[in-house]
Amino acid sequence: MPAGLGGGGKVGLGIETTMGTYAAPTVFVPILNESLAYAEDKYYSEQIRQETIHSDVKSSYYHVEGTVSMEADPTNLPYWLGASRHDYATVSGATQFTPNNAGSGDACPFTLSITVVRNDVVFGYVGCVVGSFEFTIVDGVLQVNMDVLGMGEATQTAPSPTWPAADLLGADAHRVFLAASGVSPTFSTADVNFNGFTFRANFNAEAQNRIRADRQASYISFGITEAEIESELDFMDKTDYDAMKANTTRAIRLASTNGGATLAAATSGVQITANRVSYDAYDIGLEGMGDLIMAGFTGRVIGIAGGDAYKIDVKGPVTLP
Amino acid sequence: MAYKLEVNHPAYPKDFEFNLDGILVKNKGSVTVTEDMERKFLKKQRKTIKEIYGHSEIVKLSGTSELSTEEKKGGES
Repeated sequence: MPAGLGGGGKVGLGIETTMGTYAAPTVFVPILNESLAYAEDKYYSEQIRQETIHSDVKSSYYHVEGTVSMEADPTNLPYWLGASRHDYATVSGATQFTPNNAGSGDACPFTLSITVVRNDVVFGYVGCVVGSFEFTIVDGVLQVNMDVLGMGEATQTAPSPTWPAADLLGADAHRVFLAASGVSPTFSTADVNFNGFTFRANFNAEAQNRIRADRQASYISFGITEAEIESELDFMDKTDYDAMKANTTRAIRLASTNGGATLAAATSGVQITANRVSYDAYDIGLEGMGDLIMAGFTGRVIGIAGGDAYKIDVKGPVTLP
Repeated sequence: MAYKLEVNHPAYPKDFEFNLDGILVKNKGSVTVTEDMERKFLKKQRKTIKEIYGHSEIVKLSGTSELSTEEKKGGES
């Protein structure tokens, strides 16, 4: 077999009926890169037997971990967000994901089998969840980087790809809004001073191995949910600086839509709404004689009584089970 | 004779278009694979349509790419 290029690869997702039992892919995802890998700490015996080199090795517990980066595409994004610590429901024609912070019961609506084909060689990763993710705008296009954890790996048969056409969210799709925090914040005019936008959610996922005559992970646990927004914007007034000092929480929304100015009117889109954000830092400085005066901030997304800390609405063709 | 590819994807709406390794098929619809399409597929994928789509849950493959007796006779005339 000749050497292959990354462009010839493919990644497919299958929703698992039973966590950790392989489901053949039904959705194929155009990614930018991935690094899913078999992760194991082998046991090297340190028997003392008149030698100063390890004398034996045994296989140990393992799991799957790695990253997947891709353009945020409504034609497949719901599958990833549904395999994360969310609940989901259909709201106004979009699939709305809200964090599941109950701390008990099933954390994810479903788990994924991820099939990766590298140079025509098939890898099947099972029991996969998205442990953290980051939406960010790169060269005007909304992208998402995800950390994936899985229970195990097995070779599978070659999948049958069905590729949807790409539906990217470009520079003319994005609007950022600020408002007073609330269960349903009232956003009015878009703020036009933002230079970049990053939303992160980290569920502090860890693979857990238990003694059960099986080397793959028993399950994936979730810890504290840490969500934050990071950005910088032209410094125009002290409204948000004062909010940081006074610990006044704010609501921040990124609306990325195609075919309409609002998600309701759009044909497709992704809308991230943080209902209650506390500014961790709001830095303004005179960086240099020729530098623009910018405000850089990091905001921690926190819970709100009677509502959700954040919502991610995805409008697209996908109907999740 | 020719292969026929049908797509029936429960998560996507009717008429949503899928690209099956170069062959465009709408959801809940079908396409008859011409000899030229099959040749291009083989050249690009280095595998036959049957090898890739013969075992799919989403894509149903029917028919055959073999020439019928009548077609063979037609080719000889």
